[in-house]
Amino acid sequence: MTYTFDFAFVAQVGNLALDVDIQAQGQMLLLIGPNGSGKSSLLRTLLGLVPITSGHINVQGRCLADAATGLGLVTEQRRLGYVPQSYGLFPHLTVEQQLNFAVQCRSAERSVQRASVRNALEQWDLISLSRRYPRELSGGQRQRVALARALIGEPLALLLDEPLAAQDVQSKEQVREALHDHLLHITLPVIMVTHDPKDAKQWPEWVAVMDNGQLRSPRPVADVLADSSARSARSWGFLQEFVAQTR
Amino acid sequence: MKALHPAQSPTLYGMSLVLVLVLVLPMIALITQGLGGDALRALSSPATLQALWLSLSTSALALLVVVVFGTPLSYLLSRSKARWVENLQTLVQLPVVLPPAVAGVALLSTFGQKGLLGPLLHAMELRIVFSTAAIVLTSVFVAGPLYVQGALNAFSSIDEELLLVARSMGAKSLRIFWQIALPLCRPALISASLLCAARALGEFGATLMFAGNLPGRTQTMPLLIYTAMESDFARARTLSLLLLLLSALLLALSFSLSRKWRVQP
Repeated sequence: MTYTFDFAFVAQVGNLALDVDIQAQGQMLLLIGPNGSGKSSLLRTLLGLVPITSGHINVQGRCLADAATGLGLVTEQRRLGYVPQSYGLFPHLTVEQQLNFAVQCRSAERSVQRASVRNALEQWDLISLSRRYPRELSGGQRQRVALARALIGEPLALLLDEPLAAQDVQSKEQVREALHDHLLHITLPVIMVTHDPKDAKQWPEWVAVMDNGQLRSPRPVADVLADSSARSARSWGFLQEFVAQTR
Repeated sequence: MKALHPAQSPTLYGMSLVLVLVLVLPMIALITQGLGGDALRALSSPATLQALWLSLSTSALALLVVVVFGTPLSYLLSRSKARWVENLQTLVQLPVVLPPAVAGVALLSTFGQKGLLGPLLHAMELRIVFSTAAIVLTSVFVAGPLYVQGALNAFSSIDEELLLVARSMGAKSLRIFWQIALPLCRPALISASLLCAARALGEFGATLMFAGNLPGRTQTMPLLIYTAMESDFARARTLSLLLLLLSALLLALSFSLSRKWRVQP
């Protein structure tokens, strides 16, 4: 399964233009760029926290926002799975309750809810952890719960904001491997924000570089480097270092 | 000898001691002298029991009103960054710093016979001034803002990402309020309500002006103490000690809960 990500993003103060078309033909898009380049702003825009002033957002044929018609669905209607940096697990809910909460938001029927929670617990190998609270889980286990919870409502795409940033150095590699394995089995377009070059080594296929609130359509990092116009960009130094570390 | 930390200089200790003495000595005096005389008789007299019951029941009722209506208000105030919301925050906090006499006059100007709502209340055949309801209203007015501030702080401290994640799952505002915000802030909300209850229990000035001092109807513990002062100071001391212990208990509970709340993630 491959997805195509067609992106154009221009953010200026008080003026946010975005053209996003995510079609069911691709795997994964890495969003890279130095700190403060607007990566998180882009995610927040996709999630509907920031209105766009021109352009549109289409995900798998569904229009989430269109500046021309004034359409802008609120976050809860966008059907985008979202996993923030620290995973955003609710500290007062057990693993099973986290999944229950997510599934209750989408489906009204009790029997359907129970079945999907049971399936998710099995599929993500969480049965033995179902009664644990987030503070009783390891980093890798938390990640699994966060992914299971984001996907249980059958979203149109999955957004990951630096999913490894909160991991300590010892477990980071292990959790990265696990994330890679999990994402291989996800049949959804995935957009992952990162500033860690090792992520690009793991998922080299598509990279979109953010620079100063602007983003060009995704392509391999090598292509971006070969483009002489990129040399003048503020992110040039970041890119060179990024590529050096992926080798 | 262990060296003193720079912040622990004798001068600082000495200066702090002055305030500690002013704050603590009156309480020590109350404890040491409150049990003298005929303490047991003072505590078990019908007037005391009546006033105690009135104080506890009206404070509980006021607390109920504050929690039921103040919790949604605090949540809404914590979630909006609009300018008018900030102004509203200041406005609802005002009663905390209002002089009790001003609070009394304000309540009379609202619910009194010639007050803002006077004609409406008259048409509904409701008389609030000098009634038990007036005690509850006064407590809501002077103690409610304490709860709102505590709850507001708690709700504001919720990680925004948690709420965003919940919204991305399709959770509506009311579900997020009930299932995420409320349980996350429960210890802080209980702590804030204990503070509010302690304040309501001690309310005196505005109650005297708005509800009066009618034994059995509007004579709460602070008002009974005030009345007892005029004839029997020893009795007033014993009753004050009782109220001190009650307030201390509420405060200790509130502090221990807010500590627990800070420790948890």
